[in-house]
Amino acid sequence: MSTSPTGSNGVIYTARLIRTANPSNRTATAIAIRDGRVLAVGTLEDCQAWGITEVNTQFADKVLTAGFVEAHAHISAGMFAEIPYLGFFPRKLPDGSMTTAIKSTDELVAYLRTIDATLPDGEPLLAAGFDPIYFTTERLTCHHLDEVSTTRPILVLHASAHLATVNSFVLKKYDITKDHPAPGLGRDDIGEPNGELREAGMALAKEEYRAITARGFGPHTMLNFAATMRNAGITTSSDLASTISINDDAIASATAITSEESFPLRVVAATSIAGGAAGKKNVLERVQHARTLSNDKLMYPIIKLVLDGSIQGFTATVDWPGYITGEGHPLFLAPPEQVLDMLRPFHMANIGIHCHCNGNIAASVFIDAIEQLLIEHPWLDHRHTITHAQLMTHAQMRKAKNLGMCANFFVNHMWYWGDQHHDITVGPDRANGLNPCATADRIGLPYSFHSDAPVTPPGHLHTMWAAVNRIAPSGRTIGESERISIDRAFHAATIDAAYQMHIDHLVGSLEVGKFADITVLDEDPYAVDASAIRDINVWGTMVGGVIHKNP
Amino acid sequence: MIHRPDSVPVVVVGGYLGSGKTTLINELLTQTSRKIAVIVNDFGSVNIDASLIASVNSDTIELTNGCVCCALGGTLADTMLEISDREILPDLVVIEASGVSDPASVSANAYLGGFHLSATVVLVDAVNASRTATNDLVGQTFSRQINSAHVLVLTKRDAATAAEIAACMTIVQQASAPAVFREDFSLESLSETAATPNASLPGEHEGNFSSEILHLPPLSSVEQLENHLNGLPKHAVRAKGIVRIGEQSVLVQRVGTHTVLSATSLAPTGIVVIYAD
Ligand SMILES: [Zn+2]
Repeated sequence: MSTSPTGSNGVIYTARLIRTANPSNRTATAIAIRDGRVLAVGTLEDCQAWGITEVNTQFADKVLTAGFVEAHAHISAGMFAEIPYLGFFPRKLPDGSMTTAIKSTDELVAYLRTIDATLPDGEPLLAAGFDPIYFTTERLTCHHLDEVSTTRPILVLHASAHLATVNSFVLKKYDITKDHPAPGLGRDDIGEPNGELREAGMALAKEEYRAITARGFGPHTMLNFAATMRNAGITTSSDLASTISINDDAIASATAITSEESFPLRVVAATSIAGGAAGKKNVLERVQHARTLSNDKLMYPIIKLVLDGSIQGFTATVDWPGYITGEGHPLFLAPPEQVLDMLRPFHMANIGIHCHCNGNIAASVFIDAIEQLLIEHPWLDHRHTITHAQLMTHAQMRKAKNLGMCANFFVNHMWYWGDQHHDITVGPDRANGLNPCATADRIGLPYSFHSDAPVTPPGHLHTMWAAVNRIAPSGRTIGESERISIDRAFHAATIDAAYQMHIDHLVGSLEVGKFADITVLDEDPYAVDASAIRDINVWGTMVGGVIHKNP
Repeated sequence: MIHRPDSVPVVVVGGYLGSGKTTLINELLTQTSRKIAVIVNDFGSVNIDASLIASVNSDTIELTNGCVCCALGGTLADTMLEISDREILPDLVVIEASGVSDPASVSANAYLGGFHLSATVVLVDAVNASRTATNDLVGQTFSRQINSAHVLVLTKRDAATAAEIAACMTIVQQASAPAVFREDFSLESLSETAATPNASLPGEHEGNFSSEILHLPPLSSVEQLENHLNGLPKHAVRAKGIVRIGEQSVLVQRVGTHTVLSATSLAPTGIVVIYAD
């Protein structure tokens, strides 16, 4: 539900407390808004000095904070409104409802049966987000899914998105038998396909694969994305690896949707230059063209490059001594020798670069490229950002700081994969140093942190909680000395995120002249017990003075 | 290997940056009148010659998205499915893999409905091979590429010193796939012959050899594997590849009748068998 402020002169909102993320006026109890911007922030008296008579007290018992800014999420974060979600950890959907947590294969079968009962005959049952990494029960096979239905196709996409499991109906439909030569087929002890389809093998189930990849990319996706973010209290989010700028129709449609007053999010579309689009599609020209069509809720200040894989997938480029269990498969998604040439045109055009580096080898490649670009073209305010930055060494952080770069840490990993990193991927010592927010503070490297939604559920109450506590599901604290204060966490989730996207003059703090973007909370994150930060209820948001209440 | 007779053959051309993939594909296009769909998944500018493509009624498709961790769609698999929907199918699909990709995972797309894999050809630049192989950043990528090949094609021999060629030969001789020099190799003939696995590969430099790719069913024991290998004809002089025994991937290296097995975490590739004709 969205409501616009009345009164052309402006409106004053009073609150139990306002946290501004502006160190000059850290807290306040009233804020005056005119034309969607912050007119004044302080006491009711301070605000009334502008001659505003309308005082709105609906937030008198709420805590208002500078609107949360998410610098690494994806538009597909809204996809679970369109596909049943099977994750181990529940998520909040755009309509405000919570998903059912799936904690065993039995629970999965039971849940899919309830969906099966609602579908017309013949319609495929498609679901996503299944996360067996947390299970101790046996592996999911076609036989489990056959307990749900033998008369309709079923495809369950796993959370990694690299693997799907189908029922026997699908295997039969596509003639996937024992002698099928595809390498991506999971098989049982006697060589029969067991329903697992890996990587390219997922597309063997042609129609179901197409149907599931098409969902989450339809006309409602942008709206579902914004609603998902609003529910989490986020007022500005990147779509990092965006394709909006690539064609005129996508720009026109995104411009129209975001221009609606009821659209509750500012979107930073960071065009992807992964997969070779750079030279071919003339991404630079496309981004520059899109920039001329920006509006207050759709901006193109940065671009995105993906350099390596993920730690939990053993594909991040981890330097010596590598992964502790088993061989890794470090994966460069762009040739390291070409990174400099790929980035140069964007740096020369003063466009911020956010580069996905999970491993420290990728981070080195990116940092070295930026050093060279600065020698060639001294743009002093570039703020180029290492995103994920999970395994950065302290030497890399010092160098990045000296070069004027930023980091965007994936602190949600400390919760979602903290135990796996401790036990399986990099071991206790490097797990303690993952996403080292406190060291970044000691070194002076500016940073934010992110959810990478839909990879983890969006929301800065959770990222702040993770950065402050660094607790894993087993209960262990991972890297006690990398924990930070709630005050540092709050700034990382607001103004520092805006800074690395070059929009800190517009959003990220409640400062006179900036957009009136506010997160409305039931409790003060500074006042609750540190362990309860993530449990605070988000009432809704205000974007440019327009109120968006959560369902 | 089993595929439907009307399915479209696929050749994957891999190899590290600068190994000559685009040059090779352009030459292929000049040599053929067949209708070829070329899928390019590389960085930088597309260098496939548009005039060549027009003249042979073929087309080039660029992939705009690499494997982005969290983005579905826009992938090679989607492109393959689109091709399989065409009313007039191409005679051959050639996939130019990106310079940092693992051709084995790219070639998995050739098993989708309506296609079959003819061969994975990996180009090795004779000048830079040993430097790339020992490079801290990409050494592992390079060796994965070499190990995923059915045929290794050595390029840039003219520009290489004798020492560079020797170093390059040392690298490729440890691989399972036969190696040929660029001038002895025709992709056109490969794509035709490989459809019948027993036919000899063109230009095998060690004399008259042919090769076959043996796709074994998943095995439950080492004995089962040995039974398969012992069943090979006498003129099978060498075999190498990765199979799965139970849950474990095993690297098989066989010279004559002597077999060495070692555990590996790499995905099964099938076994390349070299026959002395
Ligand atoms: Zn991401």
